[in-house]
Order: sequence, then C-alpha cells, then structure tokens
Amino acid sequence: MNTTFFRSWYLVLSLVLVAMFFVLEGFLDRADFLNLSGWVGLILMVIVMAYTLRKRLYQLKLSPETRSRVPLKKLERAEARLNEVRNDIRRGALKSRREIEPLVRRILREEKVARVLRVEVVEPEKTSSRRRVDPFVLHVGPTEPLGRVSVWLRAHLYLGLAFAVIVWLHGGGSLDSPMGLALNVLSLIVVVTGIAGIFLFSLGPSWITEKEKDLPYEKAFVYRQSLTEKIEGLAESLVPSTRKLCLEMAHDPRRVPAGIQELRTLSSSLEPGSRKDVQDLLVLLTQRERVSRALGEVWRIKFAINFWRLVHIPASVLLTGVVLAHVYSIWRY
Amino acid sequence: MNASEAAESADLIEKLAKIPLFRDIKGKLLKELAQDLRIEPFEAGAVLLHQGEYTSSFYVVMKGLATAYRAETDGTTEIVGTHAAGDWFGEMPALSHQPQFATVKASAPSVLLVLSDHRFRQAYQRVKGFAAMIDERYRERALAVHLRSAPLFHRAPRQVLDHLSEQAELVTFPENSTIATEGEEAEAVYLVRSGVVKRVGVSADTGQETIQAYLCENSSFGECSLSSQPSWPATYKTMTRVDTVRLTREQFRRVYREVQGAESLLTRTAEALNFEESGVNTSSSPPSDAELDLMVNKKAVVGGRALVIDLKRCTRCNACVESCVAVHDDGIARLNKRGIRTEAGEHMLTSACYHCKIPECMLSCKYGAIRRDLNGGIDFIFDNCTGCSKCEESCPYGVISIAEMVDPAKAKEPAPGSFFRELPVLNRFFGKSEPEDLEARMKKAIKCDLCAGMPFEACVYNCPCSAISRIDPEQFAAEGLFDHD
Repeated sequence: MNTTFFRSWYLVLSLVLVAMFFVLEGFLDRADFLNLSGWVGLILMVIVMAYTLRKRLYQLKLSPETRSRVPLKKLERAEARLNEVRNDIRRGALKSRREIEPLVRRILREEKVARVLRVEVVEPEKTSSRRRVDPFVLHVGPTEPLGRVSVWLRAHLYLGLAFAVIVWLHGGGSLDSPMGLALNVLSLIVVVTGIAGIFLFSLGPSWITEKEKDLPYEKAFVYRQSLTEKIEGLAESLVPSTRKLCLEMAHDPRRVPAGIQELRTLSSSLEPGSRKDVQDLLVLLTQRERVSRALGEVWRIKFAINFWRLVHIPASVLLTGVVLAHVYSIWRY
Repeated sequence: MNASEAAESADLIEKLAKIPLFRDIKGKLLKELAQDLRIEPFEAGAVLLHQGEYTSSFYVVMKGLATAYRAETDGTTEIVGTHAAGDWFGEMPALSHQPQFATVKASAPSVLLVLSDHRFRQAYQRVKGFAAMIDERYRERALAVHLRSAPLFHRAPRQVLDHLSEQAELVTFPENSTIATEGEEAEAVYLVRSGVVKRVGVSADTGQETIQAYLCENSSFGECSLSSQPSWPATYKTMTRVDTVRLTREQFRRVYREVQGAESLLTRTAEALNFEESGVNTSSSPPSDAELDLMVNKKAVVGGRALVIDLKRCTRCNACVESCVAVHDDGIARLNKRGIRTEAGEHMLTSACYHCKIPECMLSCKYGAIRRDLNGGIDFIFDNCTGCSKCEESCPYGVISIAEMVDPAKAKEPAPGSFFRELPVLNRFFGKSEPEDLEARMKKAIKCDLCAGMPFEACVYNCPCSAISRIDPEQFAAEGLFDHD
C-alpha cells in the first residue's frame, strides 16, 4: 500500500484549522463566524481547485517555468565553482556550514543559476566512511519553484477535507435551504469519492503490479503489436480464404475466438505437410489473445482505481459553481 | 564559409603549423583541427581544469604558465607538473574519457589553444608524429605517476617506478581484439591508458561468456604474471582501440636486480591482488538482478543518475511521460517506461540515461557528438549529430532514440494561419498552422538530459504519487531506499 498520501503536514494543518473553527464557533458571534468561515472556505476552495491547474500546466503549455531555461554553459561554470568549494571542503579550507552556505549562495547568484539550482549542504552520517574524506557534501538539485504535484495533491486532499467541514460549520449543519442542501450534499459527494480515490490510489498500484508480474504493462503493447505483425506476415503465405480470415482476426479482436476454432478445424483437415503455417498461426493468435487478456485485466484495474473521478470531477465542478453563486448572491444582495 | 571566416581559418592554420606538436599534421586534418579549436586567454590564478572533473578538451599553452597539482584524500597537495609555452595537458582525459587527474591553474596570465577531445583523438590515431610526441611526453612526465595509481605499485619505492618507466612499452590494441586468453601463460602486466577492456569469463554452469568487469582509467591487469603460477584467470578483450603500458616479466626481473626488496614487495602485492580477483566477494549485500549487478558491482553507472519507479506507488497514469513530452519543444518523450525490473517486480529502472562510466554510446560516436559534462554526465552535442544511430545501437539500456525533427536553419517561414490556430490550448481544435516541410526534416539522437537548465526534472516534478525518483544505484541495491518529498 502506498502510504505517502497519509503522511503530510497538510493533514496536520487541516486538523488544526478544523479544530480552530470548532472552537471559534463557540466564541464568535454568528455574523463574524459566518464571515470568517466564508472567507477561509473560499480560500481553501481556490487552493484545492488550483491543484487541477497545477497538474495540467505542462500539457496545456502554460507553465512559466519552461521559459526560464538556463544555458548549459552557465550551469557548467556554476558546477565548476561548486567543485572548487568541494575541493576546499576536502582540504579543510572550509570547515563549517556558516562558511560554506553563503559562499554557495553567492556562486549561484553570480552565475545566475539560482532560479534553477539549489544546493543543500549535508553532513554525511557519523558512521559513514565518506565523512572522513568529506565533512560536508553539496547536494545539487532543481529549485522546483511551483512545488511537486504530489505535494499539491496532498494539499488538495486535506485542505479539501477541511473545506468540507468548514462548509458544514458555516451553514450550521442546516439542510433546510436549497443552498445549504446543495453545498453540503455536493461537499459530501466530493469528499466521499475523494476518500475512495485515495484508498484506490494507495492499493491499486499493488494490484496492477501483481497482475503484470509475467508481462509488464508497457511491454505488453509492444509485444502485442509485434505478434500482430507476425500474424500479418504469416498470413501472406496462406491461401486467400485463410489469409482473409487471419487478417480479420489480426485487426478485429472480436473475430478471434470464432476464428481460432475455424483454424483448428481447418488444420485438422489439412495434410500433415501443409499444417505447419496454420499451426504457427494458431500459436501466435493464442499468444496474442493471452497478452490481450492480460492487458484487459490491467485496464480493468486501472478503470477501477480511476472510476471515482466520473463522479468526483462533475460534483466538484457543480460545487464550485454553487459556491460562486452563493458568494455572488451574498455580495450582490 | 565567407571571406572573413576563411581569413580567420587561414590564420589559425598558420598558428597551428608553427606549433611543434602539430608540425606533422597537414592537409585536410589540419583544416579540420583549425575549424574546431579556439584560442582563449586566462588570468593568473584562473582554474583551467579541476581534479576529478570530466573534460572534453585538450589544451596547448601558447603563452604563460600553468601548474598542475593533485589533492590526495589525506588532505595533502602535490605539484605534479608545470606547463610552459609549447607544452600541453589534458591528453589523458581526452584519450580515455576519464576524469582529470590533477587540477591545473594558470600561474601567470596565459593564452591557451583549446581543441576538442574528438579532434585530438583523430590526430592521435592518424598522425604518427603527433602520437609519438604525446607518448614521449607521457613517458617523461606522467608514466611514473600513472604507475603509482595501479594497486600493484601503490607502495612501491620511487626508484622502482623510475626503472619501470624507462623500460615500459607503450602498446596499442585495435578494437575487438584479444589481449590475453584465459589459461595461457601470463607474460606481462598491463596498465590501460585509454580505451576500454572487458574481462570475460566462461560460466561453469552454462558455458556462456559473461563480462566480469570493465577496465579503463588507471586500471591494470596481469598482476598474475608476477605470481608463482602465472596464467591468465580470464580473457581480456578490447571494446575500443586501447592504448596500454606493458611491463613484461623480464623487465620486472631487471628491476629486481637493481632495487633491493622490490621482488618480495611486488610479488606479495601481486599474490594479494590475485586472491581478490579470484572471486572472493566482500560485498555485504549483493543485488538481486544480473543487470543490477552490472550496474552496481561493476560500477557501470555514474552514481545518482538512475531513474527508479516504485511500482507499488505508480498508478500508470503516465503523467511522467506526458510532462516529459510537454517540456520538450520537439514533442518527443525522453523517458521510456520499459526498463529493468527487480526480481520482486516492485521497482523499475526506467529507460532514462544512466550516464554510464563506460559510455558505449560515446565510444561508438565518430562525429564527436557525445561528450561528458564536468561531473561525468553524458551530453549530446546537437549540432554535431548526424543521426547515424550508432549510439542507439550501442546503448545497452535502450535509452537513446533517433527522432525526426525540423531543422530550424532549413525550415521555411510558416504561412500565416487563422487567428484560432495561433491561440494556446484552442489551436489543437483548429489544425496545424503550417504544412509539413519535408526538406527541413533531420534526424538527431535524443535521450534524457535531466531537464538540464530547467528548475525541475519534469517526470519527478509532475508525478502525483511520489512514485518516480532519481537515485544512486548502489543505495537502491543496498537498501531499496526511495526518495520521499
């Protein structure tokens, strides 16, 4: 099970937020509480929805980061200067983090690579043999200014949960009004499907990995294509009627079960010397069927771990619309 | 070439012809060298090369002075040589694709001629006079230091090294030749100067040949020739053209006569090395796969460069591949999710470049289109690539693809399209804005470049499940660790 979804500072943040609102409900008067919970809820909703944009930023070619590519020459110059720092650490000329970190930051700034590279100064484990040689190690990595999608997803999960609870508190748990009913029911649907999604995302990969032990998912496509090409090649050497059947089976999977039966019947009626091509064809078709079945099983698991989106996404869009309508109506009226 | 470029080229050719090192190079090769070199000034104190870095250039001092020094692991620094006008350095990394042996600094304001390693190798392999001068200087200046780096001579007195340096033979073996055959009498110790040698054994179970080790950069073999039973324990074959230093048993015997105590020291060291080589495995946790064994125990990859997918986290959403496509203008993914899987099937080393220590792609490229960056990463030089696909065929991990793309120099101006075709996002619904320009297509080799120059690695950055990570293969094999964000 992938437990990384359940280990996040956003879980702590959302628990603190929710606890805070439960406490504030008792202290603040109704109007102030509505105002505060409304604004916080709106902000949370924007953050939660921003995950969708962050996820699709690159496919939509909207990310500003792709425009900030630094020329390789500058990177190499920066690396060369960092190597000098590494040599100085090794020689003992630089002894402490207080000496190393400002120097490293200056190098990144002067070489104008600070927006793409960050350097972490790390002390190797006390028991590591490396520590005798390098008291400090420089780990160079990308800056990742917008944050990883995995972090955004965790923010989306837990701030989304916090949002749903705050919506409930904001409405006082009331389902009497159409707005209250819509907001709370939609929130509930979104949260329940989202939670289902998280558990499916946590467990699903192990199911897929178990299924594809013999033939990895990615290789299966290539293997199936290669089998299809072999079937087409072999079909060329057959009589026209059989060739037509083979090509139909090569391109239409629905014809395969009946087609295999036909070929078996045909094979048994042929002279032993003439059977070889048809038997080879049967072997290839059977193998391809097996690969297709294996792929089908993986696809079914993939569908299972993603089907919750069919409800989650439309419900989220509706919920956003309802929230915006609510905010507009409060502002307008 | 226009008139000013021609004049500049003629000037460079004239300068080159005056340098004694290049006097035997004539005609077309001289012109090619002149096109590929540059002349650079350096201030006093400027560091020209760093110890341990990879370099893709050969340097000739035209004016000034450069000093080479080496820092040892105990913190001491030793000056290994000085280079005045007419002298050169960087020939060993240029020949062997291995890291720089020492740091070189300009001791005075200097002017250097900088030649690419690809052209240097061409000159070395094709012009005898040029190679002879390089080898002579190597023998005077670097051979004793090179001998010292071999385990056999770590503790040998300087006198022994000096005697051996005088007698050593510099021998070259062509590509795909056999240096020594298993079971035959071992007659010499070899040090590899440049190129790659593979040590090949025959499996007792299957009878198949297996690669036991790669030997390059300061590697040595043949210590068994000094032992009491001198026979080759394996077959040694060249993967590329290999330049070696050969020290025969007879040469050792002469040294034993000159230097007291040398025989017992060298013989004891040779016996100890033979014992290690005979298969006593001291690694604490052997990896589970033959491929991992090659990568980790055989040090086939530069550490920290493997891309690993945790299959227990990966939902197969393909966000990694889609973001790789999105960040490259040519729309071709460098990441291929068909790679080595561990036996348990829980992790996959994807087909992204491993920046191998023995880069077979670089060894196979005849156009100088593949080089190492400072830290050993393998880079493609786009302009030099002809799309011949030798690198694609040589890569043992299948991470290189040959892609068709538009040559910007030849592409015609696109005809003005409709307004909607120029909009982001919506343009996909209104067709392409310019027709296919078949004349402007060209083939180039592509592979993962770790999104160099970008503030992220697209695949790692965009994975929603923390399933993909860059990792040191040794760490991965030892602990199965995974990066956590």
